[in-house]
Amino acid sequence: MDLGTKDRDFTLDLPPECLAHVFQYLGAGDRKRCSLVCKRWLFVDGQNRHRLSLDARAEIFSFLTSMFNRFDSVTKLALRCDRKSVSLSDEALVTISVRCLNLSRVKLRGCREITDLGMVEFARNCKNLKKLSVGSCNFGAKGVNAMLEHCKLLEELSVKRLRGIHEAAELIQLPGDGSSSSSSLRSICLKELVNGQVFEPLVASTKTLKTLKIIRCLGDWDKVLQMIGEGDSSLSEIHLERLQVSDFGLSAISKCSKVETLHIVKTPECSNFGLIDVAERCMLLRKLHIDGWRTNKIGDEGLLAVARHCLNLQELVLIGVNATHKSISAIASNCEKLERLALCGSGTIGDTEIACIAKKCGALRKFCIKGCPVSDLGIEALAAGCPNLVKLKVKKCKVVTGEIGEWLREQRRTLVVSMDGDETEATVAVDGESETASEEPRVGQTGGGVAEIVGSSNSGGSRLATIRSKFGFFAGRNLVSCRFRRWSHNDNGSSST
Amino acid sequence: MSKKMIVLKSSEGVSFVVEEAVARQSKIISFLVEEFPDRELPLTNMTSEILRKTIEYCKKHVVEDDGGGDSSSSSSGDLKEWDVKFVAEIDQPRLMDLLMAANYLDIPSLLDVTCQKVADTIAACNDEKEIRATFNIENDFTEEEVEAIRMENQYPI
Repeated sequence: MDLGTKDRDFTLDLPPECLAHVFQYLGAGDRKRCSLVCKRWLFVDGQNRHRLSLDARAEIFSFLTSMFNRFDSVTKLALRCDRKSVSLSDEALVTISVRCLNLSRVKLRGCREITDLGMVEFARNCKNLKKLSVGSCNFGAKGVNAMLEHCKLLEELSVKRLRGIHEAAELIQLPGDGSSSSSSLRSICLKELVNGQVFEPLVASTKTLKTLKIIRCLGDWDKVLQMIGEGDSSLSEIHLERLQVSDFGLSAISKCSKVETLHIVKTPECSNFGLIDVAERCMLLRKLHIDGWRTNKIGDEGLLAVARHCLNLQELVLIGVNATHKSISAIASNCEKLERLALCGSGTIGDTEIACIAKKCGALRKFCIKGCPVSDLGIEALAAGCPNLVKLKVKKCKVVTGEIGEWLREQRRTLVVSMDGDETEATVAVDGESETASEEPRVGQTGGGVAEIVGSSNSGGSRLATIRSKFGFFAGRNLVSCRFRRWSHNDNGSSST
Repeated sequence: MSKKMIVLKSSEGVSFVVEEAVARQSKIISFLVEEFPDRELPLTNMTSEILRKTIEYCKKHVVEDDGGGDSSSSSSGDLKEWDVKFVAEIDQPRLMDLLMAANYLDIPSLLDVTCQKVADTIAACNDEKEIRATFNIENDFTEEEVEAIRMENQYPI
């Protein structure tokens, strides 16, 4: 019955949109093979690539014309050049921008040969750009300013390791008086910049800005935050990580009354005073993450202010913050909307604190305890409390036994309890690699929920877990999950760069 | 209360009586039923064989109104298995016809399943020659053209 199939090409019956739909299910390698099958397939594949990622070596230049004749519907373009190769030039970049006038998202990585001149031309041609992300490039403020001037629709700007601004005196700002309300810019992310303070006029005067992330940038950031605080800021989400920011900076943030999400991660100069200012004035705060880096500068005093004023709090993550029942019980009773809570690597969180939470956190749905001196007693308290709890994670707590987990599962059948014993991740810390692996922050990825965020916490409880796993009867499984977890770390790392 | 039935007519003029809920998985039929109630719907570009197959798929995938909420998760896995078997049994020309039927009638899930099957067949090939052989596709490139595309193909990642 299949005789007919021998001599006819049935794919010819498929209309182009169907063939394109089939191609969508194929990976990059398979699609390249498809392009070599026949002219029709080459055409259909080319026409239906909206997202294209190119190895942006200098040699690409001679292929650009034919390549963008082929891929003429591209709207999302990534140009990546590895460290060992010479990247494409200004001329190539401009050629691309002339060919693809509809680009809405562009990513540049390691395109070191591109200068401000190229970026200016590029900006002129890409009027429809909504997202721009640049990393490890050499151009500077002029290039960025040109983008801001010409790409009126730009919503998201992400800049990482931009060497051109290292010593530049030129500031980065919106064109005109700098306070243009016609800007579409909603989100700015600055990572690993030297002299990133040149972005001050931009972040301080962009009235439409909702999200600001400043991560691992050198120098003092207080002044920039102060400039933001002076203006009538519309910011609703602020992430500060590994920065030189003091209480002056936090105090400035407290003037941004619309802030709903605040991450203060490893900013060693921030103390209770700054947090109190934030708590008192940012009434809309819903999500608060603090990684105190075990500096002990943020503790009960600041958190008591949070408990008193931030009544809308839904998510609280405390890492390396030595809070005691004093503040925890106040938060538990006052913040009635608290749904997600994570307490990690804190030497003061014990059974008393957990009992407080069990008794008072009526709305709590997800709870994570990691590397805290909690015992079975504290976990036991959760059997009777927190009626809405659906997920509990207890990791690297030295004296908590697997039995109590079993018992809790028995008591509360709808509760998902995850502990070191079951799908152990404890051995990750074995080779010291975990420090660097977990250092790669997930802060940049919002909406991950407490469970993911606290994966990056540092903890003191791992050693015992390691020993337990070495001798314990789960040892074999531990190794497997350990290796698996490291892969997933790597994935996270690469995707966030 | 009896369920409402509608009549679909294939290119050979064969009538298929189908429950409305089953047929409505096709967005086109759903639209036609509202525009022209109580009329036979002619599907002149579909053979009886393909129409029968399409209806078989739709019958399996019809969402039962009286079904409990709990059973849905377990049955979705079964349904996937059933889908895989469903397309595995079809030969290539009929698979293409079914894919086009899904496209024409606008039944997204059937389109996905059939496209996935074709994509799997492509992915199982080692190179473009094998793809051509599998689908009887004529190579209309010159050697120079192939070489040019190969050079270009170094760059997309």
